[in-house]
Amino acid sequence: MKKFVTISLLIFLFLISGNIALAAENDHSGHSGPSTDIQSGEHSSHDATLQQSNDVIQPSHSEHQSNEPSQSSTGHGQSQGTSSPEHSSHDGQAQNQNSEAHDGGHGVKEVKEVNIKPWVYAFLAYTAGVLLLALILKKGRGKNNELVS
Amino acid sequence: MNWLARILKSSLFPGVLQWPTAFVFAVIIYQLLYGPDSSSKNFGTSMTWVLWWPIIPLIFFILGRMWCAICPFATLSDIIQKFFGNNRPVPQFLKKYGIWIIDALFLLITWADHVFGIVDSPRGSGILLLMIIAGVITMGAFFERRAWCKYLCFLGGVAGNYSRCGSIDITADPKKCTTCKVKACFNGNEQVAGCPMFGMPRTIGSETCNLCGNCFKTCPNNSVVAKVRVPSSGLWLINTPRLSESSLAIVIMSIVFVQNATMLEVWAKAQSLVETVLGTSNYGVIFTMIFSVAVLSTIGAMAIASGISSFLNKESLIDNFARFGYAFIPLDLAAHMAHNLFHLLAEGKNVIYTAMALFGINVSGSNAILDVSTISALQYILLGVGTIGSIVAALKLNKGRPLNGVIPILALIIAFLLVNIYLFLLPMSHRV
Repeated sequence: MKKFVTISLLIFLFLISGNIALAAENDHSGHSGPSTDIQSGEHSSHDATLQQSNDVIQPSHSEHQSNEPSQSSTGHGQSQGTSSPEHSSHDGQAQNQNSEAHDGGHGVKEVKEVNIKPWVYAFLAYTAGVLLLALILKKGRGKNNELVS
Repeated sequence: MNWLARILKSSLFPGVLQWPTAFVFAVIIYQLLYGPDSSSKNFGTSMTWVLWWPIIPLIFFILGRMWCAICPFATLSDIIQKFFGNNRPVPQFLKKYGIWIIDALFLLITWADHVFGIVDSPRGSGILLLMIIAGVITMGAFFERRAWCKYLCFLGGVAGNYSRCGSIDITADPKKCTTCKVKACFNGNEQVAGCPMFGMPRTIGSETCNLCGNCFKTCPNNSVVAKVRVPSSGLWLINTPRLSESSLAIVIMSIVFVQNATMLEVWAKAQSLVETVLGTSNYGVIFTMIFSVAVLSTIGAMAIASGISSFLNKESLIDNFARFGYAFIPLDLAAHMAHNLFHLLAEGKNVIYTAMALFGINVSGSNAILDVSTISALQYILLGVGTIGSIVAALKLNKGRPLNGVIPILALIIAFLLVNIYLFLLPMSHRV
């Protein structure tokens, strides 16, 4: 019975904290806290945002084609032998964009703005719940871990 | 190995490494969650994916699972256990299916990396770490010892496999242990806890032992010894092969293939094909389909090789799969290290730049430590050494059986080597 209650409470906590994240995520429009664009399988249409993002840009199909030659020209290809090892960090970033272009050319990996705050809140809520539950269960046991009647 | 025994016995170990690691980890978490959006400017991303992830297989190879002794997640688990721990026994289903859950988690995280973006995005990495911390806290709060590390940590699963190739072995004098009544190595004493990995030094394998040194400190008979062994020899003496562990070895190989293949032109063609067949442009669906095919075809190749072996040596397919799956671990390790060697040596200076940026010092320049041709040469050397290790392991695992039974496995090792060489010949993209 105790096991059942513990597991049920854990599932409840998990769902509640997940719900906090989702609710906050849905409410979120024009975030104020730190956030980034991460890839999502969902289809959205904020192309203007995509063009400006400097991290994980998911280019359109045409960008993919135009970026491909630049990948070899930046010279990180190991097999071409034309690469310059002394590339700048800027080059590395360009390469990163190119790799994203490579990945996203056909399946079109979309980006979605993710606000980190709800995730942190959900994490804190879940953690606090688990620790509280653990403490309550611990109090119900003696020093040698036997149940206190 | 007196020097190692002295280190492990020291009261300063592992704390002297554990606490600085925990501090750096806290900085990494903060950076991932609240630092710069750009992965190339984020200290957390650089430390995690350019330094730590490439170096960790090398640590497993040299020191076995010693990382697990100083891992910040394990430190957190210990702290939670101290103040909130219920110390309940680990549920049977975790003991029985934990490694399968690890297999699934490893696949899930790789899939999520491609679909949602984890390596590319500091926030994605941060969210992943938060989820892992939530799991660690849950396990630490309710279950005894390091239940998370032993039964659920996906890195622990990989560490367990790779550490079989490790060069350090902890064992104990059987004469002293059979007469021992206190079993302090397992139960602990008033000062030091028992083995956090639920083992005893006489029987614990390098796949489980995290070299925390507790048994060295608690043993009243000075029975525990540390030995240096031939790398990969831990694979040769496996008495009870487990399908779950062998499957993980094959799954790791398929993941290395997928990680490399996503950077090739053929990847775009494969996506286009799946897009046409399925009639969807949803990247998640397309990647899931291709990822599933890649993983299943690697496992399928091993199943076919095991099937042919079973025809030749008259043992069951499952027995052959379980036994010979371990032979692929050295090649796994080599391919994993070779893939990450590029990130470490072509992007390694980014760690220094992002670390300096934490103190307001902005330095820019090349991220590369070595030139690409040197890195390529090192990658092929690694693949060669790994292949030799796999071939030797396959032959040793076949000891006492007809030689023809191992031939399909050797052929598959060579085939995997050729696929790896092909993939490493092609351009690889950067992480930061």
